[in-house]
Amino acid sequence: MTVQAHELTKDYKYGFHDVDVSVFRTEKGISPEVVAAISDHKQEPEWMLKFRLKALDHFFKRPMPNWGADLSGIDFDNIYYYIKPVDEMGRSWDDVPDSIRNTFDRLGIPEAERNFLAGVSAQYDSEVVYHSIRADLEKLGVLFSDCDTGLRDHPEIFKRYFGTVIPPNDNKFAALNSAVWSGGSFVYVPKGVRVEVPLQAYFRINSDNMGQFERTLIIADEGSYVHYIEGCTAPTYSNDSLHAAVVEIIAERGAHVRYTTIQNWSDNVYNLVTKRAIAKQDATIEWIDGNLGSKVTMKYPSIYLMGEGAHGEVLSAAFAGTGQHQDAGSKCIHVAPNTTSNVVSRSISKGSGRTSYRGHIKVLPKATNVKANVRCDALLLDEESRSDTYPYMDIENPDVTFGHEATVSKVGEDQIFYLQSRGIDEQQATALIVNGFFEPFVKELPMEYAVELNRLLALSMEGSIG
Amino acid sequence: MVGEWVTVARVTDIPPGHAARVEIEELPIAIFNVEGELHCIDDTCSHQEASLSEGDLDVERCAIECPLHGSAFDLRTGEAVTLPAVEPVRVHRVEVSDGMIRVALSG
Amino acid sequence: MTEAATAAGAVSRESLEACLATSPGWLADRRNAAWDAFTAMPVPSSARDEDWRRTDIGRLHLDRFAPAGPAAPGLLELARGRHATALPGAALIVTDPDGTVTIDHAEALLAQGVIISSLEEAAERHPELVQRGLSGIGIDDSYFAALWNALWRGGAFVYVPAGVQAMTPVWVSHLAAGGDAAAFPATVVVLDEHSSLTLVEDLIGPGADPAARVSVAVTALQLGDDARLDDIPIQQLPPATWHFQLRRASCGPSAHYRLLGATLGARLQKSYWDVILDGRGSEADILAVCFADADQHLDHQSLQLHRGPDTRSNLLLKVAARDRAQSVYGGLIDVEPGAIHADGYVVNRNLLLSQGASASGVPRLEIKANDVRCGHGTTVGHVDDEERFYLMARGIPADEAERLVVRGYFADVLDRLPIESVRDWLVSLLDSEIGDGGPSRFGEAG
Repeated sequence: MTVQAHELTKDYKYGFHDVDVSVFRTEKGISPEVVAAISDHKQEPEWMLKFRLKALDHFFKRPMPNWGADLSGIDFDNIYYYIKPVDEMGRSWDDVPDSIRNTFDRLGIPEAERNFLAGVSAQYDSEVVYHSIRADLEKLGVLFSDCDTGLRDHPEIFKRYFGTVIPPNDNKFAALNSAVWSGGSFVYVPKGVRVEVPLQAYFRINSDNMGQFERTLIIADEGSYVHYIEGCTAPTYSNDSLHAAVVEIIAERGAHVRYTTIQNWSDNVYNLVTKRAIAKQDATIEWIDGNLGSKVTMKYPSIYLMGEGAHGEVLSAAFAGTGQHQDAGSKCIHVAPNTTSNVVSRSISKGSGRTSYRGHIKVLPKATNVKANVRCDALLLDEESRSDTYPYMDIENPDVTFGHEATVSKVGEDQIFYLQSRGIDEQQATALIVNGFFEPFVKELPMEYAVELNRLLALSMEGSIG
Repeated sequence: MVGEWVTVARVTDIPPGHAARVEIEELPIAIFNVEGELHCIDDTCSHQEASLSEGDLDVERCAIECPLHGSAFDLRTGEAVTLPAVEPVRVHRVEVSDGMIRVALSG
Repeated sequence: MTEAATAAGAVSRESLEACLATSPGWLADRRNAAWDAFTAMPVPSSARDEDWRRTDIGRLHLDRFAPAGPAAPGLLELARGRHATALPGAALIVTDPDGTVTIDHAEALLAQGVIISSLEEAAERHPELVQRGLSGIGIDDSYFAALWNALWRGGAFVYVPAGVQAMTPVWVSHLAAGGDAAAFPATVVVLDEHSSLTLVEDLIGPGADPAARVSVAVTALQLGDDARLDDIPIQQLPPATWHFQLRRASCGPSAHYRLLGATLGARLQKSYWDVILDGRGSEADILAVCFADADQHLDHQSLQLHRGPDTRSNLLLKVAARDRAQSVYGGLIDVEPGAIHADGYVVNRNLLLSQGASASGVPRLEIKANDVRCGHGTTVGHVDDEERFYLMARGIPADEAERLVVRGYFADVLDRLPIESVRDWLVSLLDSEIGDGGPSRFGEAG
């Protein structure tokens, strides 16, 4: 028998009392000083500072993942983790790259949104609409703000749930986010309340909307319903090359949360996201996850089905053009009996783009009467296109009906031929087929997004963008 | 040998804030000293192959955080208090007798 | 560093020396290189190695196993009996774990110019052929491949010359080591162009013998242009065996490889079935059944590697698991950029018969060519209540009902066996495996 005694309680080398905040300058790189300065700047309670510093410790200690996409291009020392130098802040529409501006035009994005998306202006100019939505929410008792405000104004709710779904040591990028997080949404929906209008990031008051290290916390109390939308179809230019976001969702008994993401970051961005939801008894979680942009995305929205009768749905669409790698997927963990999950993933690779589906379905021994299904389909448009599928499954209870199916193929010649015979040229035919392929995803989007997305896909197919 | 008391270490081997990993018949278990009180649980995290004795001790919550993904386990009940672990670890009885630490495995 | 290289055990310098003593120069060099590679490799770990994630061999201590002596008494008769029941017309190669090899009923094949001998003898007499046969097995492909490359003894070798359709099948029977010993079965088959052969490989030991033993086996198959091989591996090792296997078939242009196998025995199995579709137009069909019960942990890993154009592969693995058995499946369909028109498919079906049984899997696809059609499907299920009720309501006792259901479940695979006598024999093997468990819990719902 081996006995190894070792030190467990760790005294932080930089005990927070010792950090000299005044030393902090707007410089690149990450350190306990930077983290402490962030916390000080936001005037956070001590528990949050401790949380951040501990997370930083985990971040330094954890190795880079040895699976998934190629992350060797990330230069951690060359990134601003919070306060940026002054010259960066005064950005105008003219600073946005041509290709992005052109796309905005072609997509017909209204000017107000453009300004917002380009980070130029903090306010949503259609003030009437904006204000009336906020008034409605207040009447319902819905809390909707950024996380900084949530922590400050609603500490008891915030502390109860924050970090319980994704602990800071969950993975390297969750650790990073936990150390330097800023911005993101805080949503609390009271019992029985149904929020009919989808909540979107730019309804928040704050300007820190398109943050690199967003932290979102959504709590849907018993019997409530909310739909949250993140991102947008228009290509979103970002100076920041690393985005490491964390999204935690808790659906209490009987609650229903739908979280829609359409990510279209510019192609210099490494988009590494940890998204996880807990569904309690009779609750439903839906992840509608669209990945169009970024240089590399690694994202696996997960659902833990913790209560009986819980249901999870993941609908994922990914498009990878030349130079892009979308490594996405889902995880459904069936902990309680009588739970169901359904995953549908559609991906398209064009040029030398690469899509990977990575998923995990787990049914624990106590989870009887489970139905779980996964369906992944990938389309390879060009000779150099690439697709991978890595579906993991662990089924530890026999009382389960589980199926997983995946296909990879190219656009059928007979389909093209048929469309050509109807007078549609090959390029348009391919575009039609691509649209049809993504249809299960697109039809779940609110109409204006669906319209924009279809236009964006058409543009991508033309090769005129990305 | 469920239930039988096995002597595994000296009390002085595990001071407060420390942990030890011991194998009883090839089953790895972990013993923690939380401010003088001893707790004993399975060493292997219920989520994935990791040694809990190498994790972070949270004295306030009387919990151990797994070094691999941060799941915390209550040392008194073995319950997983944060994701991604969802299954508990077993708690074993531990006592001190004549300066020696003894453990009785649960079933 | 491995813990395994200690004196006098099966995995030791002494064992290596014994093997070197009977090897021609080229083979001795190969064995030495493999031994060096093996001693430098870490033991596969479920914490570190992705393909071992669900299979933990932490409790295996290779150094506690002795070199294999001659086979247990009665085992040779058992092997002969199985051959006589299932395929009496086949040539029979029986390999003892200590390296002794006996060959019977080979006259017809020898007359055709087929070479049938022990692998050791072939290494001496036909070095180029054996080298060709082993060319697909790197000496350090894996921890267990390296170990095998260093320490295999005896073994079976078959070479079918160009244009020859082997008149009779070949039945290879590898006898397991005795209790607390380790054996290293070896089979190498080379088919020259336009030739064909049916091969049965039977891994057996003394039925219910509870002693632990180790088996590290490699079967290397080379198919030339337009060659055809029907490969029927049956694994029915004793219940406390640790079994590690690599089976790799390399296919030339238009070659067709068909595997139809059954996994029944061992306490823990980790097997790799690899098909390399090198040549244009080559095809592979892999069909297998696996019945796991008690505390068995049966892990199948497969690779369908499409290199040449116009290649096709299809894998169907059906698993039935009962009691506390665990089935693990990991597969990869890998399509390289030049493999246009690749058509690759994998289906893994799992039937869980009792609470406590589990199935896990990772069927992967890595597709680097676009003009392809590939896919996979996995299901995990149980006997549904209606079916169960139907059988019980007809007065069929639980044991019998379970046997009927599992038989029906495996039927579509077993029906594809090309030889009826082999099929009937396999069905009876399965029946006894299923019947051998404790009182059936078939009647209990959920």
